Amino acid sequence: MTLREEFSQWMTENFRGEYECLRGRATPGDEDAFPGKRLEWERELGKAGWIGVGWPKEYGGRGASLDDIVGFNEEYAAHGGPGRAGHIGETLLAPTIIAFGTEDQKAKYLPGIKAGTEFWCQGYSEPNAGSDLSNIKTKARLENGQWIIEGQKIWTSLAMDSDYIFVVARAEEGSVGRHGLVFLLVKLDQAGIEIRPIKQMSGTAEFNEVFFDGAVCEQEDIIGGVGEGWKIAMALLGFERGASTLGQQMTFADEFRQIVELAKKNGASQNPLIRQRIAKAYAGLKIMRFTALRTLEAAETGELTKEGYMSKIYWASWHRDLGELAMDVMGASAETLEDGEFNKLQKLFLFSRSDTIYGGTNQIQRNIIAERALGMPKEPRGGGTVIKG
Amino acid sequence: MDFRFTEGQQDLIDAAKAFFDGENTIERMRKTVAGEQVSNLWPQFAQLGLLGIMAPESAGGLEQPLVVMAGIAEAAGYAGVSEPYVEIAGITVPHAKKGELSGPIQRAMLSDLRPYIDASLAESGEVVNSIDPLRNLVKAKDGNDENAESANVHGAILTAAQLIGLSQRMVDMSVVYAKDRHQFGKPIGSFQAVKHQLANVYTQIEFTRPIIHLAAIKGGAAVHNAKVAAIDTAMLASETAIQVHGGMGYTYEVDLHLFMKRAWALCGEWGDRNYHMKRLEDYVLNGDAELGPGQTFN
Ligand SMILES: Cc1cc2nc3c(=O)[nH]c(=O)nc-3n(C[C@H](O)[C@H](O)[C@H](O)COP(=O)(O)OP(=O)(O)OC[C@H]3O[C@@H](n4cnc5c(N)ncnc54)[C@H](O)[C@@H]3O)c2cc1C
Repeated sequence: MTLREEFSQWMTENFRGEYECLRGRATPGDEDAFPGKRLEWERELGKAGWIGVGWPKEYGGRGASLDDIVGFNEEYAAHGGPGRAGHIGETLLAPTIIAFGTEDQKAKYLPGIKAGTEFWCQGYSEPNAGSDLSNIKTKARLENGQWIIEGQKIWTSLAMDSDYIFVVARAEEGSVGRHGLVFLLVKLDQAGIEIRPIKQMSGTAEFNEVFFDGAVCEQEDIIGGVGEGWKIAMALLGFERGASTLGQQMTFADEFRQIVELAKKNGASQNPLIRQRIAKAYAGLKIMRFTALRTLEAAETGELTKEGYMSKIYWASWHRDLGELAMDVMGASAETLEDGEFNKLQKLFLFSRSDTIYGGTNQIQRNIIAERALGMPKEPRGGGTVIKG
Repeated sequence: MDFRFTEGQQDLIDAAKAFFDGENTIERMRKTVAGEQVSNLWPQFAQLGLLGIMAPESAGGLEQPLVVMAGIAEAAGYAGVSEPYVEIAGITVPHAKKGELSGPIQRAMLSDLRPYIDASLAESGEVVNSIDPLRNLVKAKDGNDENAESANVHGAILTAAQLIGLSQRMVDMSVVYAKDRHQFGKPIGSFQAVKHQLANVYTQIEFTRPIIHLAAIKGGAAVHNAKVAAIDTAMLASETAIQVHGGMGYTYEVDLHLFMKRAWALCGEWGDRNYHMKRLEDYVLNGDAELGPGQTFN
C-alpha cells in the first residue's frame, strides 16, 4: 500500500463521528469554529503518525518523498480535513529545528509537535517592525543562564491557542538592523507574558498582541547563535514557502470547487464574464501547482530560490481575486449573512483581504523580486528590503 | 452639456456635506456598532429640507434634479450615513403621490433589483444581517411597484454616487495613514509603491463622477455604465486602502472596515455588476447604441 492509500484509508476510518463538525473547515479565517475539536483532531493525527510525514525517520517522521507528501496533502483535502492548527510548528519551526537546532532541542521540541500536543506561534512583527522587520526593538539579555525578554510583538496569529512562541529579539545592545538578533524559543504560559487578542474586521480575534515583561527562557533555548537571529528567521520563511504551500493549494482548490458549484446552482455560470474569471482562476490554480512542485525540492533545503521570491505575490494576488470572484458569484446575496454569520465564501473574501499583507506585503515582494531576483538597484531608503513573516 | 452645478445647487450639496460630516462622526458610527443609543438625525433631515430635495415646490420641496441628489448622495456615502436617508429623499419621495408628501414618508419602493430594504422602511419582513454592521435589513416583499423601473434608475445612480463618496473617504483615510506611518525610517507615503496606488484610485474616482452625473441627467445606458464604474472604483478603493493600512487595516478597531463593508454591501444593491454589465453589453452589441463620432452624450 502506498502512503497515500494508507492515509486515505485512515482518514475514512477516523475522520468521522465527533470530528464530522470539522469537515470542510479548511478556509483560513475560520479558526474560531470548534477550536477545541481542532486541537483534539491534531492529537488524533499525531497519535497515528500523520504529523511530520516528511521529516527524517530519525526525528520520528516517515521520511516521505515529495510525491508521497503531495499525495498525503491531496488526500487530506479530498477528505475535507480541517485547517491544521499545528501548521506553524509542523511546517515552519520543525524544519528549522531539524536544519539548525541542537540535538537537545530536537529531543525537546519535536516530539510535542509530532504528537499534536504542543502548538507554536510566530513572534516576528512588532508595532514598528512590519515591512521593516529588521527594526525589531524587543530585547533579550542573558542573566544567570536565562534570557530575559522585554518588549512587544503584534499580529501574532493563534497565540491564544499556542503553548510556545518563537521570538526574534535584539540581543546585542546598540545593534541595528539585521545584526545582533537572536531567535528564541519561549513558553507562553508564564508570568512575564501577556496575550491580548486583537479583533479582526471579520469580528473574530485570530491574531494577538503579545507583551513580554521579564519573560524568560533558558540560555540554550535559542536556535543558531547570538547575532544569527536574522539568518534563522529568514530560513524559517524559506520553509514556509516550501511544503506548506501544497496544503494551502489544496485548500484553494477546494474553495474554487465551492465557487464553481455555487455558480452552477445559482445561474451565475451563465454569465460570460463570470465564466471567464472562473476559467482564469482555474488556470492560475494549475500554474501555481506546477510551479510549486518544481520549486519544492529547492525549498526543502530552506533556501530561497528565485521562484520562491515570487510565489507569495502570485498566490496572494490570485487568492485575493478568488475572494472577489466568490462575492460576484454570490451576487446581491453576498451582502447578507445567513444565521447572522459569515458563510464560507464571505469568510474567504474577508480573509483574502489580508493575504497580500501578511508574510510580506505585495509591495515588499515586488521590491524583493526586483532587487534580489533581477538584481536591480535598491530603492534609496537606507536599510534593505526584508522578507516578512 | 453643462455638468457644472449652479451656485445654489453647489451650496446645497456643501451644506448637506457639512451636516453629514458634522453629525455622523466616527464616534457616532462606533456607538451604533456597539449598539449604543445615538442621536436621531431624522428631525434634522426634515428641518434642513434634506428630505424634500426632490419634492415638488408645490409640496414645499426644493424640486432639485436627480443630479443634485447624486451630489448629496456622494456626501452621505463619504460620511458613512447609515440611515436610509438617500433612499427616502432620492427614491421614495420623487415617486410618491402628491397627497403622500404632506406627511412624513417612511417606506421603500419595491423592486426585484433590491431584495433587502432597511428595516425602518418596512412594516414587516424577515430580518437579514448585512455584512455591514451598521445596516439593519429585512427581506423585501416580492414584486415591483408601479414605478419600479424609474426607481431602479434612481437606485443605481444614487448607489453609485454613495460608492464614490465611500471611495474618496477610504482614499483620504489612507493618505492620512500613509503620512503618519513610518517604516524604513520614512513615511510609507513616500514610497512610490504606496502613493501610486492611491493616485490610481483617486484618478478612477474623478473619472467615475462625471458618468454618474451624466446618468442622472440623461438616464439610458449611462446608468449601467455609472454603476459598473462605481463598483469597480469602490472595489479598487477598498483593496488599496486595506493594503496601505497593512495589518491595521484588517482590524475591527481601525475604522476603515466600516467604510469597506458599506462599499461591499452597496455594490450588489440596485443591480450588481453582472446585471449592469450585461445591460451595457446588450446596448453596445445588440444594435441599440449609436456608435461613432457625433454621439458624445448618448
Ligand atoms: C491576518 C494576519 C496575520 C498575521 N500573522 C502574523 C504572525 O503570526 N506573526 C507575525 O510575526 N506577524 C504576523 N502578521 C503581520 C504581518 O507580517 C505584517 O502585517 C506585515 O509584515 C506588514 O506589516 P505592517 O502591518 O506593519 O504594515 P506596514 O509595514 O506598515 O505597511 C503598510 C503599507 O506600506 C507599504 N510599505 C511599507 N514599506 C514599504 C516599502 N519599502 N516600499 C513600498 N511599500 C512599502 C506596505 O506594502 C503596506 O502597503 C500578520 C498579519 C495579518 C494581516
